[in-house]
Amino acid sequence: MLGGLTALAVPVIIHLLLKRKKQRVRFSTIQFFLKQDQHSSQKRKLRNLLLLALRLLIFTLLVLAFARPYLSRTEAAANARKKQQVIFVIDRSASTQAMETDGQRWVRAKDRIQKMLSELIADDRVALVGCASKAEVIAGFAPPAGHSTVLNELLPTFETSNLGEGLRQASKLMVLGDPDIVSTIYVVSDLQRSATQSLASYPVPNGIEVKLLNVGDLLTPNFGIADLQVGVGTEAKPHLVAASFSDEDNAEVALELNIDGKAALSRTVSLPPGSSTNVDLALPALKAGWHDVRVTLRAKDALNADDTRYSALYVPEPTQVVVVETWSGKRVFDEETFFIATALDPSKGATNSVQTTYNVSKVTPEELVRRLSVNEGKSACDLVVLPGLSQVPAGSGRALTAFVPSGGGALFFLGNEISPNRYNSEFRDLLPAQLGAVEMAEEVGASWRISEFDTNTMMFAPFSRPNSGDLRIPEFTKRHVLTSAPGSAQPALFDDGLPLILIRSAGNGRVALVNTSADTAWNDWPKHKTFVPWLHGLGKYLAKKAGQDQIHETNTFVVGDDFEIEMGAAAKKVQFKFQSSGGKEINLMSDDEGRLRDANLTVPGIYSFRDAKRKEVRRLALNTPAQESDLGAISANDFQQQLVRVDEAQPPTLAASLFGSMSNKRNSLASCYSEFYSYFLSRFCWLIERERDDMIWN
Amino acid sequence: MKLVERKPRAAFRQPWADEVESRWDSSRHGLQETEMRSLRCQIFLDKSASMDFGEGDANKFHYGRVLAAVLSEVMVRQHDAPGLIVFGEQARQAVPTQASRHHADEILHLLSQAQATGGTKIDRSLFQIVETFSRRGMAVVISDFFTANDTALELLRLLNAQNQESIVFHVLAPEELDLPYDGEFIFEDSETAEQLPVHIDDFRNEYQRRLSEFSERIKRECVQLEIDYQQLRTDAPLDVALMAYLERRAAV
Repeated sequence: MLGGLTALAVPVIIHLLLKRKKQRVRFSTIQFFLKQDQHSSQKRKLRNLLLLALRLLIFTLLVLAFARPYLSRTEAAANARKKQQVIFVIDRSASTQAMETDGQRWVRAKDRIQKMLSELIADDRVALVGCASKAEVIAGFAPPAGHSTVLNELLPTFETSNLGEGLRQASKLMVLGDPDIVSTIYVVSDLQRSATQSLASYPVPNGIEVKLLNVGDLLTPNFGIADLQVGVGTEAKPHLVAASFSDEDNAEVALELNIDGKAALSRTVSLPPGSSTNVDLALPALKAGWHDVRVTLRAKDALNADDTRYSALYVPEPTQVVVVETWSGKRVFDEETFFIATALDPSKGATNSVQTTYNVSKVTPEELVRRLSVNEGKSACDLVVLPGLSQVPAGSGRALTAFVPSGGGALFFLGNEISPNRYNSEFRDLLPAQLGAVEMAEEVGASWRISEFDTNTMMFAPFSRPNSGDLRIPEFTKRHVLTSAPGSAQPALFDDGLPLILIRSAGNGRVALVNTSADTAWNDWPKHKTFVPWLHGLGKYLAKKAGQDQIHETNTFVVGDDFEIEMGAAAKKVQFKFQSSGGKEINLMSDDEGRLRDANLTVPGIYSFRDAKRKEVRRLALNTPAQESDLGAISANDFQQQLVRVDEAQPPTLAASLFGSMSNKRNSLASCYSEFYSYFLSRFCWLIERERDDMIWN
Repeated sequence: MKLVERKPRAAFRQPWADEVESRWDSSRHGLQETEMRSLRCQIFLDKSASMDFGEGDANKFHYGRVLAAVLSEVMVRQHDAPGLIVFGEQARQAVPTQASRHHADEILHLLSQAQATGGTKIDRSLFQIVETFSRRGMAVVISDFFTANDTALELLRLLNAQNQESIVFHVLAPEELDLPYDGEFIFEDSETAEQLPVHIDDFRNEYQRRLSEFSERIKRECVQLEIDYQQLRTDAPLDVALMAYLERRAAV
């Protein structure tokens, strides 16, 4: 490297070459150049010499900077001067709350850190990096004594952790520290497998030593609730998933279901080692509104944080449906509206919380008028279903004509023995079509089937998904000839183009006419799987219950995840209060899109949101991440092997060689070197600037 | 002596020929009148080495002698009596004044053979020539005035004292005025051969200031002595100089 000093000849040669280049010119008279120009010439000579000296110095510094000379020191001198720079990357995940034979992992972690802090000297510098779902600097570089208080007050979280992210944060922090002193990163963790999965994605710079303070065992038995589903109106039944992260054979665990603080279910299940088990939950009948659901697992295991799982359940107000039954008194399955009522409310009387959101009550045609009486502007039901009525009770047309425009829904089926003229007269303001004569399929040689249907309508929307059923299967053997009324729509047609279903709006309400019987007299539709979802969709449309399902979505979150709580488009810039069970109330303002952000929810539980009038508008459940239940860890050896380092065999970059450290030597207690390259380099850069300025000034 | 109308020479016709013609026409009615108005016009030409500076036609000495030649021709046409005095290392009456129509040819012949050499000495030899001027006349001084001390100014004062209507043509080359050089050079004085290293960029402004001051000093002296002063760039046409002469001549 020092051979580069031969480059000093370059500026000298340039200087000499430039010197010889003065040209001789004959001029008329030099009387105007005398005296002062001689001074200028001498000044210029001096400046040129100084410039030459400056350039020689610049070259010399550059060569020396690349040569990297150093002074070796004695070990005593090295030890006497040695300072340390330590960063503790502290795993704050939920798994550190696990109890082992030596005590809780978190307590052991803090004790070990405190012990190390006490062994450091006042000149040392310590920083703390907390590692949960995000890594953050808890305390920057400071004397060790300054961190004891911070450490004492530090608590674990209910989140996962990413140790790779923690190492990255620590490496960044190390760059800001003093590059001339010994630096070490201590990872204080239980080395849970889930926390070390992405270590390889966060390479650690060479020269930074990484040591481990392991506070967990390789295998700690644990059980946990991995999942809880209790949604109303969802396809899956309410259930929980209990998981075993133990090698114990057929471990017995007790499960308790608690709804709104009251025990609802108690069971003991046997969990094979390393497996998970689904446990169905039969929910009791629940009133409409929000409910807290809590499932607790009781077993001898290490971690309690994962033994309870929460869910916030919203039971919508059921749609009140009045079905007019003409054949009352018969066996229930002989009733004309048996299929309708069963499809809408299959578990009537037992529970209303699992499969349906309809509450069906049956009335005779005569009782219909009384049921439809509007009481202070509020109807007693949301939807009226009429099968084909051979006798239309007096006043029913009037009652329905008052009921529907006030916001109710009416669903007309047809059937044998109805009088089209009577219908056309009694329900003329409601029916979407005028009834004509009856047609029979055997007269035209083949039964009719549905050929066209509008999947943009609520009743047929479920059939836009794959494997939702084939609507072309049901057969229809009888129908009326219909003449559409103005303003009506035809969401479904037979294969010959005649309408099967017509709908229209009447005031604030909606009416649908299905051109078939309510039972299987004119069709076999109830036998097919498309009947129930179609009827539910039609019922929602007529009763104006669209959008209700959305309230059930995303009520359960995981601690540590970034999430936004949708309060609805109408809730823009609205103040909400939220509180946890047993917690204090906090105010939050929604943003321009009706979302609540930065709620800072860190503890599992149920949280309630109320508006300014203290009306509850939302509840949500927060749970520990399921992967924290698996306390399986990797070994310290595996951890070090998974660490990715910058490859030392590659030629270092210019910046690395100039600005990198000889940390292997520097960290060694046996020797200590002082390097001057950085000093030379900085002076080189400064002189370059000076020469540039000097040339500008000249 | 009869007046004979002279036709202008076609081979030599300058832009101011019409002016000359009109003056001739206006004065052709009386030889006596003409004889009474003719002047002795002495042309003083500097032939020192410093005048031999400038490239091609912009050479000061070349420019100066062309000017002298043209002036002598004009003077002859005006029935004035041109004469030529050259000065440099020494001064001499190279061509005495004479009002002869072929006299300009003699001056031209001498000018064509003249060379610029030696130093610029405006001294006793020149002054003695000036002191011989007994009659009122015109003096045209063509020089760069790069002399030692103030001898150039002494010449002008002497001419004034001798009742000479004087015009000074201060001839300078573009290289002297603009100094269009870059870098460092060794300048060699054309008269003394003295060498001096000069860094043009450092010194251009100062040089031009000094030259300007020098020219201003000569001009101020001319103004005081009621002498016409014209600074001529040798890359500029001669008409400026000739117009100046004619105006001065008309005033006499």
